[in-house]
Amino acid sequence: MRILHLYPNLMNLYGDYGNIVLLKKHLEDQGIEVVVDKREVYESFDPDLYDLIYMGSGTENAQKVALEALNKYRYYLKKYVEEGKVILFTGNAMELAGNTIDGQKALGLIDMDVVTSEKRYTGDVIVNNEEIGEVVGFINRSTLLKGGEKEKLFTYEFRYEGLVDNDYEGYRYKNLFGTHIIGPVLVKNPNFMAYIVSLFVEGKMKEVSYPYEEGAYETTLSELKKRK
Amino acid sequence: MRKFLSIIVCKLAKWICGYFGRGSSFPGQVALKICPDILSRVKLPETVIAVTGSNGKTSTVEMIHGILEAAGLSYAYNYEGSNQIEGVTTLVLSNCSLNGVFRKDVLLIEADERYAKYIFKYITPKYYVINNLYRDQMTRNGHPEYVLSDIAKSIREGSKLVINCDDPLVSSLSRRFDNEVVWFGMEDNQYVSETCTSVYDDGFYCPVCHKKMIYEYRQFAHVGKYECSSCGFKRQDPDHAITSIDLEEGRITIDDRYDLHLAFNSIYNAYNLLAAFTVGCEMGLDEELMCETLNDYLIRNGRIKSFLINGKKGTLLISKHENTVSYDRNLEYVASKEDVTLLMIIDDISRKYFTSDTSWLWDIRFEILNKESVRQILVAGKYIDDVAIRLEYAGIDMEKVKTFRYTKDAVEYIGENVEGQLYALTCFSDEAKLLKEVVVE
Ligand SMILES: [Zn+2]
Repeated sequence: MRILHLYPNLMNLYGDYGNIVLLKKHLEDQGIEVVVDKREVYESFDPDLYDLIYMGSGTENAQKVALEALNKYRYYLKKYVEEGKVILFTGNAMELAGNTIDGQKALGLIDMDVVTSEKRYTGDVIVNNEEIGEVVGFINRSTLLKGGEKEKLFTYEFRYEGLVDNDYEGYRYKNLFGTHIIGPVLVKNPNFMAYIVSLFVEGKMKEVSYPYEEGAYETTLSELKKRK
Repeated sequence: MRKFLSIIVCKLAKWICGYFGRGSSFPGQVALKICPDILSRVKLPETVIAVTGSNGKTSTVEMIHGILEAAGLSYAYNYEGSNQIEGVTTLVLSNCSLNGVFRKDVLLIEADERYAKYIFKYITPKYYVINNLYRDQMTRNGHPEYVLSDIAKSIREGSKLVINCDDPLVSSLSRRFDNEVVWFGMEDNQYVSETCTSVYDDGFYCPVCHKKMIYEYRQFAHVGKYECSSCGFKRQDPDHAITSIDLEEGRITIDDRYDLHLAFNSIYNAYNLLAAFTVGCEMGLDEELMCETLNDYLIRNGRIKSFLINGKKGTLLISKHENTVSYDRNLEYVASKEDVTLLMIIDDISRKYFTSDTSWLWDIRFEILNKESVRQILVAGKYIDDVAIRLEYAGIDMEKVKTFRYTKDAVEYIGENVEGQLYALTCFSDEAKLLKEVVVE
């Protein structure tokens, strides 16, 4: 399979690249051969060549630059998503999938609008999805979201006061996944990682143990639960 | 009347705090309650020097203090821990007469990069040193571009900006302001690299127009000689420069003229020293005397601490968690030694706030440790598994890595098993966990 890591130098503010390097390893552990291609904003790509497209977090300015570059692929990405192929947007890359960001046209894959706020919302979170389970992470954003409830991915189990635009977090439409959680969210959550990997495995997944990843997840989950 | 009361209460509170060994923010906090604009009501000296940036503020301020002292000037200064408005208020008021006249020749301020905008609402520094901007405690501070916008809000008309020309992010401030700028930087040398050596590249895109930036060379990370491929933004020629550097011998040359020895061999130390020198030049201080003072200048926290575990000597290195540059610097240092055992303690990510976020581990170049000479890597604390994942990805032989939930167990292991040179690397937030288990020399 082929993975496209979009804008790895522009949108890599919180060690987000960790998602892709470990995802590759986990897929390979399932016997899948993986090629990762990287493209920056001044380079072009053909979405049809890929099975998974990933983008991570950037600064607010970087996000605008990413949007401008990606808007050229609006039509192709729509088609890509409708075909059921996988996209994972983490951190503020997830905002690109909405209708608009501060009034500017975005990809229109998810029915939501993004508005920049004066305040910055930061803090550790626990979110939950019935199929995936509890997911831990950190949110660091200065935007509020309107809409997107129909495609919600997670519900909040724990978050800091202040972060109250919606009761839900992230989205999923077909195999388009988005979450505001920054950084290596798949590394930190072996259950979320396994879920994404399972999309590419036919039949039963091979049992592979990842003691460090499981340990790290348990540590953070129990630390955050102490603060609930 | 409010001014008088504010000053006298601050002085009193400072005396009481001093008596009980309390911090230096509280008196200023009380004074600000009584008179919120007290800083604009006191008479400050003509020379106010301010220093901000991600790393090296305290060192730079200490070196400026050294050259002021040598020049026979009287001065007052603060340091990390009291570098927000409350601490600065304590500093100013405790050096004022009761009618609000600052009684020293120079006021020297270390300013927190996020909170400088509040401090300089009332004070206009004559010289404003902006050292650098790195990824630093992003869970609390926000990312460098966000911090830069805070620094921009702290710049007053009339301040002369003293800027590191090698750091594109802080240099881009000169595009936004008409203030006079004095540039300092480091010239090409034998340590530069053509490509980015850190895990991420904050110099990849131009901070002004976001097109690709081209580097002729880099000193480290995004610091070097750069030029935008599109908008013309580029490194300015420095007014004062490190024109040669020898890190093995710890020697630098400033402006092709002055040869100095460094008390601590690092490129970062050289930058801080040059920033101090540049301020002194702007003040018209005697250059030779400054160099004499700065030669082998030992900063307070520059003293390397050593300790003993079961008779085995170890060296303590401090890096700040969530601060990549400070980690990379110490990892490079450890990896340059022969036959090393490294102990890292990552337990409380911050001493000021809680977070369980470990994304920052992915920004650190642990790949540096992937060397034969690094014999063992011991990791202690809550986040051992997070570190282990990162070390494994860095290609490190996991046979070399041992993890311990508690520092105490790591220390016990070292006492019985470890040979070779021992280094411990941790943050202020976790330092005490080691120090209470060892004999401090
Ligand atoms: Zn440019």
